[in-house]
Amino acid sequence: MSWFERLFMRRRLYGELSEEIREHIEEKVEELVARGMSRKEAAAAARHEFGNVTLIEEGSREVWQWPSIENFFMDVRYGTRMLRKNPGFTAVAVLTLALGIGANTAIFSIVNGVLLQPLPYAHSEQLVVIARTAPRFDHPVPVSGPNFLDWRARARQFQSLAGFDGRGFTVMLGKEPEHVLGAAVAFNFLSVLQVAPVLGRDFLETEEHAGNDHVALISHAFWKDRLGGDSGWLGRALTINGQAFVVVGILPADFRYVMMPRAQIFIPLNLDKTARGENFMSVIGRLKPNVGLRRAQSEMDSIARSLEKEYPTDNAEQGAIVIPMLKRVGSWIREALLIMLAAVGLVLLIACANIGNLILAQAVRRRGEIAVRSALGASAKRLARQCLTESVLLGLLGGGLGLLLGYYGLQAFRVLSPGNVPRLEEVQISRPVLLFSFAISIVASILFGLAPALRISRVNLADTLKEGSTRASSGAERGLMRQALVVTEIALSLVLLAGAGLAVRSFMKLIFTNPGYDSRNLLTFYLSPQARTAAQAEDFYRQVLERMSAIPGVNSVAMSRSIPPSGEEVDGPIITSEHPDIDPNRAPDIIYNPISPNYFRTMRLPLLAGREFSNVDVHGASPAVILNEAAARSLFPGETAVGERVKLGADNLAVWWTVVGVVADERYFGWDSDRTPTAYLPVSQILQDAMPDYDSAIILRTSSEPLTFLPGVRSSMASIDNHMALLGPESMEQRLMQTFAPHRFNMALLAAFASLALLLAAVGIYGVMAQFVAQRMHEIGIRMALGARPLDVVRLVLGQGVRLALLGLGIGTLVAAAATRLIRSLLYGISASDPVAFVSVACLLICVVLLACFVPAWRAMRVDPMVALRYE
Amino acid sequence: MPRMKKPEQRDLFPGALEMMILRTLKRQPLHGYALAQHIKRTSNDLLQIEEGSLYPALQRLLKEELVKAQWGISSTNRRVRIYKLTSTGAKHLEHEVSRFEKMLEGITRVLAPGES
Repeated sequence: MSWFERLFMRRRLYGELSEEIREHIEEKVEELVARGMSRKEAAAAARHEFGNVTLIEEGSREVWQWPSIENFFMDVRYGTRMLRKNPGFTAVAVLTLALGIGANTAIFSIVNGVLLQPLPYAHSEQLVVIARTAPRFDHPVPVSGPNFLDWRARARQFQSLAGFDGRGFTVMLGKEPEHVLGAAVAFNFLSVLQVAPVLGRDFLETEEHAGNDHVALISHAFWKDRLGGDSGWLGRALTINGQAFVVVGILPADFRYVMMPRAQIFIPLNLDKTARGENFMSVIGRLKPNVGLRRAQSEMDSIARSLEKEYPTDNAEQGAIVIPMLKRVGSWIREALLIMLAAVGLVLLIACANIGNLILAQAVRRRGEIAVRSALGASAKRLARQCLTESVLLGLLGGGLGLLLGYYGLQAFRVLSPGNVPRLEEVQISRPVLLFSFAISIVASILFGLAPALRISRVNLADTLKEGSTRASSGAERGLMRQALVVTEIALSLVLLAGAGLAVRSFMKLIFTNPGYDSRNLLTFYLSPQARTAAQAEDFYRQVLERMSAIPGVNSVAMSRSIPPSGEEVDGPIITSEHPDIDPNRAPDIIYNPISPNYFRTMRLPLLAGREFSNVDVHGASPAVILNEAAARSLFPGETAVGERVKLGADNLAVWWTVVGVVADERYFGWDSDRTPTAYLPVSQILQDAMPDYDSAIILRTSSEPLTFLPGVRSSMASIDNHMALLGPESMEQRLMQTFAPHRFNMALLAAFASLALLLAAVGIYGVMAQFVAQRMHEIGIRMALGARPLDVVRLVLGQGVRLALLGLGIGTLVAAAATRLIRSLLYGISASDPVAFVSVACLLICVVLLACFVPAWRAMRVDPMVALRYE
Repeated sequence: MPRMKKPEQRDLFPGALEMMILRTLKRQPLHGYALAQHIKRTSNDLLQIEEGSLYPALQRLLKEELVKAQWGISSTNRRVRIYKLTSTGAKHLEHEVSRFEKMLEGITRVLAPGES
């Protein structure tokens, strides 16, 4: 008989087998009767001698089967039937699980796409970023042109090194000037990424130098959307920053530079005139095949050491660090993403505890069925396997639905994300994500199915069958397990709640912190003039300030290097005449901001001592500086700063500046950092012929809603230079909202996950308390019959609930105290063990637990003793 | 509720039941009940075999094609399935018996009182 025939003959075989066995037993009975036994006795004896018919039939059939697989299918069929028979239970369990798995799928897809998937370039594992290190900074910092050129010439472990400098360009498209993001890049920039233009050609080496450098590469999107996709643009000139740049190539449609995803225009980076101390650019490189990070790093170390010897003034203690590009791209977001992943992991654990709980409750109801199955010969192992199969079925259903939720979650994330997640457009539900979701579905089902499976397989048959009622004597033990699960749920929820609570507190701190200046009614934008000399630039800015302050409703206008919250770091040593012995490289981090005289008045930043800048602080006059309070305190501790002198870093700042005033602190860097020591310099003393195309921010104090002034500002600008675009015009409050957006997003995500956890925990404790009351109906009836008042009953129930909650809370607080330290980097202005956050989430949790206990307590209170006692 | 012993916990070594079935069928074709009675009787009830355990063993032998079965009428006028040894079964039995005898000989030697 072939296996194929067997497969089809099986049904007949099984029928024959049953008949044969029946005949066997009958023959035995008849023989025994013939020997003089009563028929009833004979039947019992025959069955006794024969053994368990069902099991023997099953064993005989198994000979023809692949037992494990067929049992599995049988279990699946049975499980499906059970799930369909309890739609309420199934729906709650599947939905709970789907929420947990959905959240995990969405977050993991982002982690996978942003942190794990290779960058979209050939052999992207060879790509690195090389940055400068200096003892004054704890993070990698920009590089100077000459140092980059030396690196590129000397490095042997790299196929090539290329530099880039992100820039905003003003491009004339038609009559309107438009602001387009782009970068100036080394000629071999594309070849480092192993990308070639789809049309035209790459830059030539000679195009890095003056005379040849007015060429441009443009992105496919820019070419299609802004230039109409006309290939006639190759060889034609585009007006960029008021000058003609010939378009030599068009980049591939799928090309994006991950370090600057919105860059549309690339021009050659001309380093002819840059100084060794002027650090502004970034460097990328491609390692040679089979060169590891360590070998590249040790080469860069030795290059940096020899450059330090050759140029001791500019390169003292300057190192170079090689960082994989993938790691660098994700570095801003890595921590936040991993924290979110941990948070959704906790949500899933809570969901598992909840479903485990549901199954246990279900098991109480199914005790009779299980006992019967066991009596019919199902082994403990078989029952446990059946139970696990049901769990896995649930798990897969939940996983399937979760995948769907995860897909929508990812879409929602894309829409709501404040744009601080790199490569988000690359993120998708890819194969690794599917695998991940499948794996966590299985792991989750085993997690929540194991405890009930073990419990079910240990059902005490005789007791259960005899008992016959729903009141369980062995229920106490099972109740204990459910209580343990609830305590776990509450503890885990507290951990999540604590994290969310800290994030909320931190966000409140952030938005209610006084920035130091008055952020209402400020209009801000950047200008990027194309002056050829410092005098021209100064003249341009003077005109801007004059014309704009003449606009009706504009109270005052100021210029500044950057718009708070942001600033430039002083690079190089800071020396004060007062403390010449302070190691200049260990001096506090100071940022500097060149401003126009009426900056403080426009910002409404209070002057604390000395004077503001005025028209006497011009080029050639004695250099004057105004420090903020933080800078004054750190440079001249315990002394009056006004009148002291200070040298700020390298280059043109390394002269003696006399402190003429001290102003209140202004929060920079998006307020996440504490008060940053800042030095304000008169912009007219900074402008030099070396940097005529000096970008600057313009800030207008308006009398009403600042955005309504935009048209007036635009026409005023056109009257000065009609080729000049306002770059990023926004009100200060809009800018602040953008700064807060990532924080708000993180907070909202954490809060959403924590709410989910809280809801699940509430459902969990409700279930346990409801069962607690149901099991004690009888006891409560007796108590009430003996004179207990309804209030005592409520106290009994609530007391039990609160006991569980407090236990969970205690454990949760310990875990949270350790865990929240990991989210320190997301917090602003509060410690990771902020008592306000901890106490308030604990109170919230207790309230929710009480609420969840209230319904069962109320039910208990209304128990009619007569009914409860009769219910035997 | 009688506790069912699992096959591997039976007092017989694996394959013993099958061997006895084959040996019994070699003498004459029998149906299940008669087979059970015969084995019980000839072993003087020394072997405590649940009658039912015969059937999984018979199914195994059927599957291996060591026996074949045919419906027929028993002496007591019942419709029964009569099992008959096949030629492969006969060969298998011979092989098994000789293997068993060798094993038994070995065991007997080991158990024999002090020869050394």
